[in-house]
Amino acid sequence: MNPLPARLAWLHLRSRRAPLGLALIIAIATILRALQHWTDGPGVAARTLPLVLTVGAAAIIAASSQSPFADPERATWPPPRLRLIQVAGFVLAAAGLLALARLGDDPLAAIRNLAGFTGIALITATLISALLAWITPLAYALYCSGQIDAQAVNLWSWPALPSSNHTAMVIALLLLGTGITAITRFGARDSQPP
Amino acid sequence: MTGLLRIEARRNPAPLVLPLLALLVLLPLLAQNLSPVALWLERSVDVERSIQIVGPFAAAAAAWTASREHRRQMADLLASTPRNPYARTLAAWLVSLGWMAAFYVALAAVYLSITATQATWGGPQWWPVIDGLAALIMCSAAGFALGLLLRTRFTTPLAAVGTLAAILGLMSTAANSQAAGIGLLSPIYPAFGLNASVFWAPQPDLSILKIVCYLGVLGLALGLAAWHFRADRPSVRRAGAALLAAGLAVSAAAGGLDATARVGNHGIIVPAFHNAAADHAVRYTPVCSHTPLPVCVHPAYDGGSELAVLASLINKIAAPLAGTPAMPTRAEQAPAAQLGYGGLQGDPPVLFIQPFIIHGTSLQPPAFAEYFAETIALSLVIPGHSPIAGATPAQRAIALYLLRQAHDPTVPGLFPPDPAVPAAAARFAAESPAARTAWLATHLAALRAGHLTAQDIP
Repeated sequence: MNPLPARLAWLHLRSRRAPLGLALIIAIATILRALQHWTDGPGVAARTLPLVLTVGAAAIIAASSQSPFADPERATWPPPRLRLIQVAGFVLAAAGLLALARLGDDPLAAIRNLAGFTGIALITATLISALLAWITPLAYALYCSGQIDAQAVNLWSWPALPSSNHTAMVIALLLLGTGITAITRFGARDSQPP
Repeated sequence: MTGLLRIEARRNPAPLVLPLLALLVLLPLLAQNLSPVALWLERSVDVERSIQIVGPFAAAAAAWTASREHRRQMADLLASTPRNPYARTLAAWLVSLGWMAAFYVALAAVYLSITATQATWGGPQWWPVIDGLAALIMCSAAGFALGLLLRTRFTTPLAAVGTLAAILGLMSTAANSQAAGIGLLSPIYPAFGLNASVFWAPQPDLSILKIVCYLGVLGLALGLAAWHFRADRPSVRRAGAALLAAGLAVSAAAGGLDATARVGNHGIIVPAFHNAAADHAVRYTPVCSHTPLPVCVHPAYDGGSELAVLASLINKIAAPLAGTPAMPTRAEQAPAAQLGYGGLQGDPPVLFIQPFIIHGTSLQPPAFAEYFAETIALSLVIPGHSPIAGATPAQRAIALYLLRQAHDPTVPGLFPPDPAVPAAAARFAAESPAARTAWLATHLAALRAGHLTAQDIP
């Protein structure tokens, strides 16, 4: 396999608005850190807020996977490798930033949730559209909020579980693996509503 | 303009998300509706709280609609048409908002119709529903402005996530601090407390304040949107400046009024909107059980098994006091604000109980059931208006006996590890029923006064 020229990778990242996406993820991590005092409480809003901000980071990663060139790009070489570099780089950067933001407050759970939500968003991007990929993780976070409110947290609402729950971790990693595989192999779908 | 609205209604993407919203909003709400006790105010506040779900999607739909011309690379083409670009974009937003508002109104209609078939007292409370609608309009307008001003692929997810984060962040500040503050303005902060719902006339202070604030933000958002088109027409520039100024003024006024708000016994009081004459207790005739110790509830709670469950539990715990002068004349629901402390109150003595809704045929969750049972047991043996946590070891021992004979488990929090307490409770349980009744009849006054130690219990 030929090595990728660095310039090609950089051009690919620029075409996906990666610098702006990274800046937004840094902003989200900063907000998460600034709101740490308000996310410590036992209330539903306090427990849901970190999930929602994590969904924000996941949605940005998925939205960045949209290609501005659509089908012509699919005929070129080597989009799958470039897509993998882009998504993996984003996930690693976001995981580090969110973990830093949640230091002292179960950072592993933040990484796990980012992995799971990103997986869901990437699957949505592959099946529906990268620009609408935020819908499913956000809807799922709202469902989890309802489960937290009802004090009925279980594996169906795994993002609300502590990081010590290994099954939740496996679910999140499986979702991320599926999402990255799908987006790398097929790319984001181009269709979008009016 | 009508033709434009018709075209927009056909092309707008908002309806595509409505089935998902219906699923997210209606499933939990309908699940709650299985609860046989329906309080009008609580159900109205539930409709208001659905903004947590509808609001972010309304903002996202508006942002998506606002960024359409840029996304479809139609901006230059449409700039050559004679129609006012602000009016054209505003029409698209109005349709997006219209779909979401129609969904919200339909949701409120379904939810309150179900409530009408279940509620046993009172009538619909419209203030929470109205300020929820105002919040929805604000969320949509904010998304619209964001979609116009920030033209990137990330705008729509940012509008949705940002709206939800703002709603939750404000709510967190309110929930994590004792003082009234900016968090009161969160669309999901309940406009009324449960106290106000059935025992006191609801005060719309907070609802009015929220609506004022949301109108201010609406003005700001529409002003920013108009400012975006300032180069096209002078009239749009002037309208934008006016809307911005008005929005700023109203938002600042709402912020100032919010600073004067305080948490009262019957809800949030905003002096500028408060009507002291309307702040009065609601008259009602309680519904009572026909048990040795009558248990009375507000008629609003007279649905399903609420009264039967409470009467059974309280009578089981209080059974050993039957036939003694220490037995309260009745147990009765009272507004929660009066219940910071336990003990019997009044003459003749009455055991006041906190109002809450019982789902099903038992108290849930188990931790609350245990806490409630312990509160009842301790209230029977401590002086009136005294803190439950300050019970003496002797009082705890008798309370523990009352719980054990009623087969209720205990929570470690209210019964700190003191070996003398369970030992005294076990000694007392080993006495004959007649001896226990006789001891309680003669010593309960001294026990309540705190004059006895655990060793004084036979």
